[in-house]
Amino acid sequence: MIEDLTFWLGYITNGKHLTWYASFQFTIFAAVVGGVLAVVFGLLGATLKNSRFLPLRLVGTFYSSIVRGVPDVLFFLFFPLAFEQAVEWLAATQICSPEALAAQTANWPPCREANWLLGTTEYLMLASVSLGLVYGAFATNVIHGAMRAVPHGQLEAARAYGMSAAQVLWRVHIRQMWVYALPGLSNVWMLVVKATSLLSLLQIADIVLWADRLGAPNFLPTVGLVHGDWRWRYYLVLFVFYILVTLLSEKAFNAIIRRAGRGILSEAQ
Amino acid sequence: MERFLQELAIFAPAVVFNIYFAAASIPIGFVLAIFLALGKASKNPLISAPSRIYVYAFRGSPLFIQFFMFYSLALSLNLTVWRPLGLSAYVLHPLFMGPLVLVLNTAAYTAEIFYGALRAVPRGEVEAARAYGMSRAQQFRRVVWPNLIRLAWPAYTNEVVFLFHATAVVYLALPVVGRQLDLMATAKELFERDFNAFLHFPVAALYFLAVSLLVFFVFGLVYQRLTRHMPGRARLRYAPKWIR
Repeated sequence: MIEDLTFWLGYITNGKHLTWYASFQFTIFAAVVGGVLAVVFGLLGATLKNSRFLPLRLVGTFYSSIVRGVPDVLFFLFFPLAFEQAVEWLAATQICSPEALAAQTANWPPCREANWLLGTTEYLMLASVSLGLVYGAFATNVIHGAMRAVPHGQLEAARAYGMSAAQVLWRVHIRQMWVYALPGLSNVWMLVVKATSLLSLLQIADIVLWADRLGAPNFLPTVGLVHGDWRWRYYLVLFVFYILVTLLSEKAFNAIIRRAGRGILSEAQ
Repeated sequence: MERFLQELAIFAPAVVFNIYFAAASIPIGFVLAIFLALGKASKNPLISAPSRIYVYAFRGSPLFIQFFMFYSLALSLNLTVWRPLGLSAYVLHPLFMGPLVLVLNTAAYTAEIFYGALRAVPRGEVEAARAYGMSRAQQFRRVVWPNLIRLAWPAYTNEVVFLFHATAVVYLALPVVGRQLDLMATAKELFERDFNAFLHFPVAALYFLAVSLLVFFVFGLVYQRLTRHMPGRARLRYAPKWIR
């Protein structure tokens, strides 16, 4: 019994498992940065959507409806690839010599010097930005709705005090909006958290990839424990991990919503 | 332009797979969700606790992980269960595995929608039905269910569109059999061939958009029919809240 326990303790603390635990940082980074960016893009989108200037309003509406209208996976894959290619193309117009352009036979990149080799860090940044962009579109909708829920009298009072339009927007409108937006934003946060499971699609050695590697059948004693196909056990751990994260975020959001709603008499509490 | 039209033609067979995944899982998920919602609302804790946990677990974890988990579970049972039964080729096939996981997933989301609608069914109407001496089954069939489906329909429309979008994940998690590629897999394969991200992905996105709009249109017609007795002719808003 004790031997078993020490064996399993040893097994789950071997080098590969430690690497697996370390890879949680990618998931957490992507979730936090993606979530923050989603709120930033959401605020931006909602402000555009509320703009008095028609083209800006169209940009905001277009952004939120198109990005929400296509699957998040598609955009999540497309954005980093498109960004990489755009940068490479820009670089190609500057540094490629005509001979190099002529010598290039493959479809991409235009020439060897313009090739941008992305590592885990770059991909992680791009993945976070693309999470922010995708779920920013959802946040745009939430924040737009919340902005309209702010009582009109509050804004009129602010204007009556002589505040400029920007002051009304930032000091009164956006400050008041959070109470109505928080329940919706908590949903967006859950979506961001769940979307972090897609990081491995961008060649980031994240928790999903490691679970796959560690659980794959292993018949070489030199590599570690000899075992059959254990992948489902590792995925079960991830399944439970995500449920726990959801549970904790829900608790945290309930606390925040209660705190943000104190002193405000409304149904939004 | 010609290139674009060719591209549209290349993706046409692929969209069939996405539609198949959605069409195969929506009806089963719908039925399962009714039972789950009723279970969640049940007063018996032995029934309500499991349904509650099921709904929470499947709503709280990523579909991507669910795909991997169920597929690898099926793989590990392959030698002991499916192979002796001669079912290997069927159970491990993405055309079976995909809808299976999607059903489990959508049932949870739909159950939550139905549960919310169930709690919003007017009390007085149910009491009136009871006063008329209707049995429990009659109450459900004649009073609760029509109210429930009417209340849940806009949110359910969103869920169906989301399920259709979720079919994009299927072939990112499951192995492709033969040339059975869906929109996402086609886009990825074409991209790996000529690295033209700006053509392949937007075309796949267009297909997704087109089918989503079609779903909105058809479900809007159903909604009009569901609410045909109402004075103000309720219409399904094109852009309802998309949050699930």
